Amino acid sequence: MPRYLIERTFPEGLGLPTNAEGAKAASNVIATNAQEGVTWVHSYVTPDRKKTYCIYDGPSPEAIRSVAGRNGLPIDRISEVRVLDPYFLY
Amino acid sequence: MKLLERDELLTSLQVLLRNAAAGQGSLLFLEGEAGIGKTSLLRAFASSQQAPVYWGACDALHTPRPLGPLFDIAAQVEGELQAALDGNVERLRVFSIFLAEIARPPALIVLEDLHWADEATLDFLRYVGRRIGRTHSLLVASFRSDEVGPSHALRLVLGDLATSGAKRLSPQPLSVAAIQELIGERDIDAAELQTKTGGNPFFVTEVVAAGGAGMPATVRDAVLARAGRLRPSARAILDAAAVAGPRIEPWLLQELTAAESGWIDECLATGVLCAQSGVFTFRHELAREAILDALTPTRAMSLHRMVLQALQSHSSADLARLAHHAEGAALEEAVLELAPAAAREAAAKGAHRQAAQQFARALKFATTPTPRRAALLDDYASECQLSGMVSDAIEARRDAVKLWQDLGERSRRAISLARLAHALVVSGKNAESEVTMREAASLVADDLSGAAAVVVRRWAAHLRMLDRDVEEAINEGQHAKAVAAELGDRESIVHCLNTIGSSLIIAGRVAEGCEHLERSRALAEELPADSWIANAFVNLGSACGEVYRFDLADNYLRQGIEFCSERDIDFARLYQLSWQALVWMYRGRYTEASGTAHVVLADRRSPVIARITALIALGRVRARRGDPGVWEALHEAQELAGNTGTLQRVALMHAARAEAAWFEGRTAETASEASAGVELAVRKRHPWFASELLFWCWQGDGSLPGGMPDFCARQPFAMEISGRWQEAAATWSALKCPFEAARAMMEGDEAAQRQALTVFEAFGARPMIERMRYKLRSAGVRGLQRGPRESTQNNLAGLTTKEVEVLGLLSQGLRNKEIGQRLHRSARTVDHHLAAIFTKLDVSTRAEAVSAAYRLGIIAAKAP
Repeated sequence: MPRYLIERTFPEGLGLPTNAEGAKAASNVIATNAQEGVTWVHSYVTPDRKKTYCIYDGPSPEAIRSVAGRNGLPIDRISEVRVLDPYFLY
Repeated sequence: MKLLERDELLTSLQVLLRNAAAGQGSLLFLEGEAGIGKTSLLRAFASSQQAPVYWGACDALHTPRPLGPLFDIAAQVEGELQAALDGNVERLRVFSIFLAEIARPPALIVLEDLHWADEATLDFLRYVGRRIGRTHSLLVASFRSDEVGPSHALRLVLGDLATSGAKRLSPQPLSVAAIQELIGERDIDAAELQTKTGGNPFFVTEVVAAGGAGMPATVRDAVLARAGRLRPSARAILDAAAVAGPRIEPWLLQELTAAESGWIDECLATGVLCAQSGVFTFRHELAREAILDALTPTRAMSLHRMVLQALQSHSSADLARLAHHAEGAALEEAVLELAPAAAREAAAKGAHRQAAQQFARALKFATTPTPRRAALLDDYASECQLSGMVSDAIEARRDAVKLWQDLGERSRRAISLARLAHALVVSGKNAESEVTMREAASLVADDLSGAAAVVVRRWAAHLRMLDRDVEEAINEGQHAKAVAAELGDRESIVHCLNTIGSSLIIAGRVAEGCEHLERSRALAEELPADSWIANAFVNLGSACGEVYRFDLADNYLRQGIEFCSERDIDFARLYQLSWQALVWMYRGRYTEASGTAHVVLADRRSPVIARITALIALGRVRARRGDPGVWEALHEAQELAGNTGTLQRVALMHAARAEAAWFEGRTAETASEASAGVELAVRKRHPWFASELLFWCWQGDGSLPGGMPDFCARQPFAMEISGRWQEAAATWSALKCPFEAARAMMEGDEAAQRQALTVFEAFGARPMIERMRYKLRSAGVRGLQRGPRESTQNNLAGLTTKEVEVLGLLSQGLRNKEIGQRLHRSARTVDHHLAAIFTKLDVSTRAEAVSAAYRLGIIAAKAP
């Protein structure tokens, strides 16, 4: 399954608190993803919380867009990516 | 007989039937290996019900009777269904009568042994399965899981119905405890018996009934061991019954066994045969198969002959059954009479695969090189092609051509050659088809007003149309049509109207062409010929799409897809879906376009031409959004389209690849992709293909190979090239191509460019947004957003403030025009906002958009 890097912009900052409410929001996202065979691996968030860079596994870019729509998450750009390990020679 | 360890299954069935009676009908698949107890379970369940029970079964004949189970059920009710099946009523009508008459009132309907089902029965199951939810009935369909391999036709139906909520249950093998209960006091080791039989209830009971003397290795041995204990006269009855079929009418068994018929009772008493709703059956089909296999060939043949004579003297109308026994008896004349008759009956019911098998059966007996054999080869080839077995069709058609030649039948050979040419085109062998068609034409050249010439010429016209030689196609089609009208050959008229109409549309005479195709469709309805109706829709939709008349294309494709879905005409349905994807792509409905393309690509029934079109739609959506996976789709499209070498595939493919390369800034590749198709498009004088490919050459490296031909001058692509951006944008807007309109405006003044940017933003067309912003900034324009526009606090979907405002008005049920008035914007601007909203929320209707907005908290729920 291809791996994708998804860039998102939240002009007002991402509102995902580190409490029970945030955990519930995250688990809702995961449940919606599962409907299209999409897995959220993890994300990087800028300190101002306005940009996120998310690593996802999914069957196609369309599946990524579909669950983003249902989860109400914006998409700036989807890129297909592979792992490059700096220590690959060792 | 006592049923062991089936309480849970019985409860599940009971719940489903109760829900059904309450108005929530359902379809249940009951699966398991032979002998696991599917029938016993269903019989036990049925016997405890108040609701009416209808029972239909598929037979283990090599080529089953089309809709056999439906005939069974019709015989159990007095009503319209029987009349509809006997009469020449359209299949769809039969299915809907079934739903109205049988399934709507509470009932339990059982369809057994679907692994043996004919095509028409599977179509029936698909039709009813999709609609059973709205009835008060429970439909149980059983099949042997070990006989349904991955390529079995039933798998497709299971897949299709999985999304309609069909449920699946499978009985489990018996435990040691249950086996011990069956053994009782007999001296048999329960654990050993379970290992040997895998807990298969039928196997277990056969061993127990045989007394357990030595443990038989297979279920077949167990059956034969048990039968071996019968007296010779009783055994003779069993042999006759095995040949007579899975269900034997009492009169038939008596007639077959005359002197020994008194011994039928012994067979019943020992439980080898059972009397079941007026017919005799074996306790299990496995038992019948074991007895049948143990017969000597001569004994089997003489029994088949007796069965055939008995059935004929009772004037049986079941042609498939008669043909089966004729073959078993190796009676050449009977097979040659019955098998083709059974084939025509199957074809009339839409079971083309069974029809092909019946013709194949006849061919086994028509071995001498006679006109009869040649005609059978032609019939067989036609049915193969209708059921998607194109390579078999080609092979048989070649044999027919050869034989007609040996027989000196010139006209028949010409017709076979023409049909062979069509089969070759369908399988992508265009060059070979061309040669074949020339040979056919040369054979009828001296008598152009004959019946054979009409058939050859209408197929010749058809091939010209497919290859986009539209002038020739129209001429040839009109000649053939005139002769067909004189001869009263209505199918040829339907075909010619289709070819002429499609060619006229491609030539730009759209209204005239649509009118021809509509007439073709109306005449096909009179014939009636579903496949020609479907072909009319296919060509109306795809030809209008090819000349950018997406308003017409969309309308025809919707109607055509509905028509084909109801009749399971897969080839045409899937090809139309692929065009629907392309049309949605042009209209900027990217979510629907890519979703539909994925449906086509995931279906292994999709013909090559549908795959090519779907891949192009998907590749262009990805390219326009700036998503990954563009070349994955467009490389495959190139591979498939390249093989056909025909304009309608090649041009679409090159244009898509040129555009995708251009978005990525690879201009040299843009030019080389486009120029690879230009020569062919110009030679065929196709204004749309030629002007688009020239446009991409120009975008790539500023070249216009061969110059812009006159017949392209009025195309919007030519307007863009010559700097007439306003005219181009207006033309694109009128054609409902918002993306292309914005692309044209990109070359305009600052106001136009800003408007273009708004459109690209609405569609999420990232490569064009970046291009447009760069261009505006380079020209010194200020005040552009660097990233996505501002949005409201709790708006995760990335909607702009204006879009949220539009959603709010939408939720009040306002129309576009009214929303525009409130916001002081044009209706077209509101359209763009709506498209953006749909894309961002991944919805396709206004209602879905509003409900998604409530769900995501973008707009507050109204106070009650």
